[in-house]
Amino acid sequence: MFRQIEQEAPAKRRGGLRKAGRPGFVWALPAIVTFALFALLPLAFAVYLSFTKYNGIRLVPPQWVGLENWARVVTDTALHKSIGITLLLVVCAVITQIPLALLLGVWAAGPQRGRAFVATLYFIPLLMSTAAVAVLWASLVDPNFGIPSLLTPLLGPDNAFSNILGKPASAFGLVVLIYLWGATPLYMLIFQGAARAIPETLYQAAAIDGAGTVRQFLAITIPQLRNTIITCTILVVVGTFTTFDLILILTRGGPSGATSILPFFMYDRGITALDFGYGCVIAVILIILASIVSIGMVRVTGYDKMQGTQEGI
Amino acid sequence: MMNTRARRSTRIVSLGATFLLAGGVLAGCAGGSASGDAGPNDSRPEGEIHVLVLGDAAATAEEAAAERFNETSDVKVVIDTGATAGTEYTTAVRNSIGTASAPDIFMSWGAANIQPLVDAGALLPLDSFIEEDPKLQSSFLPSVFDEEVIDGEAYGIPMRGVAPTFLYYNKQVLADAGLEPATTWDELLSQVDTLTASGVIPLGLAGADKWPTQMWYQYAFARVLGADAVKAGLGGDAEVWESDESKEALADLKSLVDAGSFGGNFDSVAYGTDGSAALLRTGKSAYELMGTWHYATVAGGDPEFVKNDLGWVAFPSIGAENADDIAGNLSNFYNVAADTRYPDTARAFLAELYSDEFLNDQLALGNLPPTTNAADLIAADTELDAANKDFLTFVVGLVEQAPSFQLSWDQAVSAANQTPLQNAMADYFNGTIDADGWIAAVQAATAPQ
Repeated sequence: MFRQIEQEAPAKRRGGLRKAGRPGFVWALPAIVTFALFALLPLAFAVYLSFTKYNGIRLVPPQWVGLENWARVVTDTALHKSIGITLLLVVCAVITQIPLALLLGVWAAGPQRGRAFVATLYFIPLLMSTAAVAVLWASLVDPNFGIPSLLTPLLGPDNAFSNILGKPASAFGLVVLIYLWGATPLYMLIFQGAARAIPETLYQAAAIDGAGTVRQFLAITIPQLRNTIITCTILVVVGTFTTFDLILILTRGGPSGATSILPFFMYDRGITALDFGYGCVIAVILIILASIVSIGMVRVTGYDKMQGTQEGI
Repeated sequence: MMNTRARRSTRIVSLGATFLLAGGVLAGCAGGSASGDAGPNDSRPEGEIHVLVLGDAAATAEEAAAERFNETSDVKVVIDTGATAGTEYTTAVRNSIGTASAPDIFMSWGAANIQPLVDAGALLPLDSFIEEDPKLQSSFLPSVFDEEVIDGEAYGIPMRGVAPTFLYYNKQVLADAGLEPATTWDELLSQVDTLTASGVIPLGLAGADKWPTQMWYQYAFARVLGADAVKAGLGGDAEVWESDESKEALADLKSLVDAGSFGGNFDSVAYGTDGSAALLRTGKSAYELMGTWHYATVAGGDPEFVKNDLGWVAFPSIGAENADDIAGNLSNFYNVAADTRYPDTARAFLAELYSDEFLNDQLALGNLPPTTNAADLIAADTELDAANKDFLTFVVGLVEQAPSFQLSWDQAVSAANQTPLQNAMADYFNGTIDADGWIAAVQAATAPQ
C-alpha cells in the first residue's frame, strides 16, 4: 500500500490537471502573503515592541529594554484584575448568549404564526452600531433622567437601579446584558438556519416512538446542532476577547476598573499613556490567552475533526 | 509521510519569509528614524506650512486666521483638521513628527505634554522668534506663557482660551432653598442638608469621567496646602502627599462626600452625554464645579437658563490662606516642529495669535484669550450679549487676581500617569480606597520618571 503511493506520486507531479485537483503551495500563496502581511507581520512587530521602550516619537526609535516590560506583568495588579475580568466576561457571554440564542433560533426555525415578525424584532439590535448602542443604554440607565429616575418613587432613592454604572457589580452586569441583547440575534440566526437543516423525518420517527417536545429537543435537536453550537461558542469567545468599543464609550473601564477588559486596558496603557512597549505586552498576552482558549476548545470539543452529524441518514 | 514533510517545509518557508519581511520593515523603521536631526527638512512640501488644528468647533478661528495670513504671504499656511479628542490628537502628532508629512505647527496642553518631544529634539525653541517679535511673549499673561518655558527656553505660544474652574450654581434652586452662594467651605457644607431636604443634589458631579472629580482635589489642596506645595508634589516630592495638610484636605473632601453632597449616584453621571450639565440646568443639582467651557455647554442645552438662572462664584475659601488661588486648564499652546522648512513663515503666522481679529473670534466662541488685553477686548466687544460679557468679565477678574494658577493635575504629569492619577481621585470618592491608598496611588503617579 505504502509503496503504491510512493510509485504514484511522480505520476501525479507530472500530470498538470491532476495537480490542479490538489492545490500546492503556490495556490495558497496569495492567502499566505495577505495573512503574513496583515496579521503575522504586525504581530511580529508587536512582539518586538513588547521588548522595547517606545513613546511613539519616531525621532527616538524603540529602545531595546529586554524583559523590563514583561517584568511589570508580575507586579501589575491592575493587569491581573483585567485578565480576571476578561475571562469572567467571556464565561458570562458564553453561558448567557449560547443557550438563549439556541432556544430562540430553534423556535424561530419552526412554523408558528407571527414567528417572522418576532424574529425581526429580535434582529434590530444587530443593525445598530456599537456607538449608538452605548449611547442608547447610557441614557436608559442614567440615574437622573433614565429609567431609574422613574423607579425612584416606587423603590426609594437608593435602590438597585439608582447607580448602575457607578457600582462595579451592576456595571459589569450591564455590559453582560448589553452583549446578550446585542449579539444574540446573530447566533439566533445561525441556529435558525442550522435547525432548519435537520431532517424532518428524525422528528417524525421520534414522535412515532412517543418522544415529547423536550425529549425531541434534547435527543435530536441538540446532537444535530453540535457543530453549530461549537462554532457559535468559538465566535462568542473570540468576539468577547476582542470587544472594545462598548467599554470605551459606555464605562471607560470603570467604575474602579470593574469593566476594564484586556483590549480596553491595552488601549489605556498603550495609546492613552503613550507607552507602546507595555501596550504591546498586553496585546501579546491577549493573543496568547485567546489562542489558548480557542485551541483548547477546538481540541476538547473535537471540532478539528468536524464529523458530520447526519451519518447514516 | 511525504505529505507531512512537505507541509512542514512549506510552513518553515512561509514562516521564514514572514520574519524576513518583518525584519525588513523593522530595519526600514530604524533607518527612517535615524535621519531626524534638527534643521529645515527640504523634503517637506514646498511653498506651504501645515498647521494641525484640533478638529472641534474652535478650529474655525484658526481657519480664519490662516485665510487672513495667506492674503499677504508667499508661503501659504494650510490648515489640517485633526482629531477632536486630545489623546488621539497627541498620538497623531507624535506618530508623524520627524517625517516630511508632520505638521509644522501643532497644539499642546502644557509642559508635561511636550516634554518627550523636547527631549527628542523635535520642537523648535522659540526664543529667537521672540527676539525678533517680542509681542509673541509680552502679549500673553505671564502665568500662562511660563507653562511651556522649559529649562529657560520657550517652546509654546498660548492660544485658544484660559479655562480656570469655579462653582456654577442654579440661582433659582438656591433662592427656593433660601440660600446665598457659599463663599466658605463651612458654608458650603452647612448648605448640604438644606438642599438635600428639598430634594436637590447639592453638588452635581460627573463622576463617571473622573476628571471632574479631580477638580475638587485641586481646590481642596490649593487652599489647604498652597500652590507651591502642590507644585512640588506633582513634581515628585512624595512627602507633600503624606503630610498632615494633605491628610486634612483629604478629610475635608471625605466629609463632603459622606454628607451626601454629591448625591448617591455621581459615578453614574457623565459629562459628555449632557449628564451633569442637565442636572444643573433642570434644577436637580444646586452647584457644579467646572471649567469655563461649561458656560457654552449649559447654554447649548438651554440658552434662556444661562441668561436668567445660571450663576457663578469663585471656589469657597478654606481657612484664611490661599483664598484667591485658582486651578484649571491654563490654555493651549502652539508649538513649532524643529525641522520646519519655513521658520520665518511659522513665526509670522504665530503673530496672528495676538491679533485683534483672532482674539475677537475666540471671544465669540466663548473662549477667554490668554492675553493681557483680554479685559479691554471684552469691554470693547459690541457683539457679545450681556450674560456672556458678565461671565467673561468674571473669569478675567478671577485670573487677574489669582496669585497662582494651578494647572490641572492630570495635565501636569506624564501621559503614562494620567489614568492612574484620575483613578485615584475617583476611587477615594467612591470608597474603593482610603486616604492611605490615595496617598500611595498619587505618590506612585507623581514619582520622578
